[in-house]
Amino acid sequence: MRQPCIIGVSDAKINEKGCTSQDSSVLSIQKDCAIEALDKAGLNFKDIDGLAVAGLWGMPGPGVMQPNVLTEYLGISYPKWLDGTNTGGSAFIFHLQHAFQAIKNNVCNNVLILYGSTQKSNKERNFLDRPAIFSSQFDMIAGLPSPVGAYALAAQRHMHKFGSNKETLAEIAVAARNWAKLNPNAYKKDKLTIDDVINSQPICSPLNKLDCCLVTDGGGAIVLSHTDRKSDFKNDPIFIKGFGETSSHSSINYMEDMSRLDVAIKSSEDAYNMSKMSPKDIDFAMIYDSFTITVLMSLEALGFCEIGEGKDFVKNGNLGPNGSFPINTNGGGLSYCHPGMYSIFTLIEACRQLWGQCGDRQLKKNLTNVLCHGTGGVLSSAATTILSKESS
Amino acid sequence: MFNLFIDKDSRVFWEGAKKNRLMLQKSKNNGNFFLYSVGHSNVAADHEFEWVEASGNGKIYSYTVSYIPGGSKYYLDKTPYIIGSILLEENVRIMSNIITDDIKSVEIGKKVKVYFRKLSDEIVFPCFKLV
Repeated sequence: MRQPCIIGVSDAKINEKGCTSQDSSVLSIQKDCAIEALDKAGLNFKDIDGLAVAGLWGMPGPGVMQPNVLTEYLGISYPKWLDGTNTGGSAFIFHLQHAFQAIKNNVCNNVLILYGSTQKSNKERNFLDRPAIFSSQFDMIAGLPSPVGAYALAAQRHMHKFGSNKETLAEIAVAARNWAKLNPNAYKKDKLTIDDVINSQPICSPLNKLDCCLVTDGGGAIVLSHTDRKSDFKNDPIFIKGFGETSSHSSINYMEDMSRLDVAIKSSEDAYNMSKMSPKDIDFAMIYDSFTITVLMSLEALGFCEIGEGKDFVKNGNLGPNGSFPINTNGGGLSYCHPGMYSIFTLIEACRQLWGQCGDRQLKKNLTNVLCHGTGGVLSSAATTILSKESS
Repeated sequence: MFNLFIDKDSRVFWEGAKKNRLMLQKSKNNGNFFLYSVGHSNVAADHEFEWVEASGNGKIYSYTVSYIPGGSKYYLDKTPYIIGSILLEENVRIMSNIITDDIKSVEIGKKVKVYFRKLSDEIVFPCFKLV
């Protein structure tokens, strides 16, 4: 039975400024990550016949066809399968499940999923001159900072409806920081308290600066193969037990209920059904933390607590190194790195935890099933996958 | 200052605003209202619709006080300012600004009324004031 599986991962090294090395480009970052991940997988570029990529890089105006650029740059010979799905930061979990289907159905054998960003080095993160276009034209004329303003509107609504507050959100930022302290490649490792977060610079109420993800460079690579190819991989193969994906809106104002993450409810429901699992079967979760509120709403939508009860669930460092529900052991987008589109790092860290390669931050308990969840846009799209040491 | 791309689905809205009229789209099939996209409005994309003037009454669905400029350089010297998602009487949400001297008085659920604000020679934006 042909079982698609992950057999290698890699993330780019970032320095104390949150940048990759000075002479790297958005393409060279992806090449370096691919080389390392392929080496760990025991494969070469010539083995690759499937490629997935998403990013914010390209030519302003004409845009760029990212799968074509990387096929050429990496010399991947006539790939049989390409995916350039771009649903925002969730895209790489979409890629993973699309790759699963392609490999399962004999469309291709070995897939590379790639991401790279030099947004910090190149100071690319400027949103003031962008065109006010499509449904966001109203948001832009109203001066809504994107994406933080959109997440702030959801946070305000969540607080109003469920009584969550700034301390609730700060718990999430502090847990991320406490994990990052244990990750040598994390950008932010200095001490952080609840008060530090609450007293940090206000950005868009109720969100402060330390409720927001970092702005860094970064990159990552994932290699998928299947069990027909061989069974003796360098790393134990990690299987994909279930997945779900969906989308709802582009501008936050078209989100049906800003206090409830319906896209994550839908995507996780599909992932649980496919894997015949429920939240209680999940040993550990990697949840895209673009903002603290993203985690709060995701925890509720993924079923780890009831809708509206996240405020109690995250208390007393419950998500941190000494808590009962550890998440985001790499330090997350809040404290490890956030190059713009983060979900690939949820997959990379999940695999490393399953392989027992996480050093000081390695979870002490037995891990079999890990859930990875990615949010894209402004709570717009969602993809959930359940990775496992056990084959289907 | 504003890099606004008016298109087929928003032209009547912006032209109406210049005449101090808040314009919405209304499905001829089921009478539901929407603005620009039909997502979550119970209107299907193939419904026929007409443009109608809204009452201008609504309430605050959510809001944020922005301490950083967003969307346009116009906002560089305007912080802090309030962006609100306003739920209109017609059951359509519109992204706008809440104009007040008292930021603390702004709360979710409070009633608001449209107030047309001229942002440039080309753009009048339907904003809202607390009732």
